[in-house]
Amino acid sequence: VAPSSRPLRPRKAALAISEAAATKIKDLLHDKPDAYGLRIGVKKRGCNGMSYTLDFADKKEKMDEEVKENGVTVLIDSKALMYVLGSEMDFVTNRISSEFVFNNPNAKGTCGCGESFNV
Amino acid sequence: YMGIRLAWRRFSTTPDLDNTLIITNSCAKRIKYLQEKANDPNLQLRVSVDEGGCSGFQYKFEMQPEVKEEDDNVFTKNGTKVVVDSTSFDLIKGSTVDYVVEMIKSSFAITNNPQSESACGCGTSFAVKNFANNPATH
Repeated sequence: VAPSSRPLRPRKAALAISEAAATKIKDLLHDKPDAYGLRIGVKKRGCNGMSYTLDFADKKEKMDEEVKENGVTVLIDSKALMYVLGSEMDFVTNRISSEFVFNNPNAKGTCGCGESFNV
Repeated sequence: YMGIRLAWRRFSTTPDLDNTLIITNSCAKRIKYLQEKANDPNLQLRVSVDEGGCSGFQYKFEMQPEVKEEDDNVFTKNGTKVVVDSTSFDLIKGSTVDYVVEMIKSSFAITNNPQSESACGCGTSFAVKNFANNPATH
């Protein structure tokens, strides 16, 4: 077998998607069959500087990072990439609320409600 | 808008809207859903205010079996109940209790709190207007 002309290096997915998150994403996309997937973005909000946003995506933009795991497609906006890199996206439900959370090993501080953070 | 509101408050002879809580349909619907899920038709939402959060005070929500403490204020909507102890009520009267559904997060929330001066981005925490004069802080 000829050696591959380009060396292969391990490349971890930018984001891990938990099963709970995947189930919820499938749920959301079920009502919107035309959507390509969901896109994670960030906006300036919250007491700690940043907050994540989540929207339906029609197509993959040039700078989007694409993550496919547990049967779902999630796009990460280039502006959000550095914040979520290495995180796990999870969906947490209790009686009071249900929400997507990003367990971010890079976050230095989070707000009491967990919605805003700084890196 | 504030001017109209103040004038309304001063001259209005109708019951004071600022002395109650407005419960949205979405909030009542969510309580009903949780009642059905827990198989307890009397499950109620307790709203309280705690010290803490980035702005000084934060809202707390809890689903609980029907209990009425002596100083509870009880509000109803479409057969569902929201209860608030009187200390907390002083800090949220006139507010709207809502269940806000967004793609990234769905949760109970207090909105349009006339007692709140500023709030945290996520809306969980808030600062109180006229802090020294508020009866709740005595």
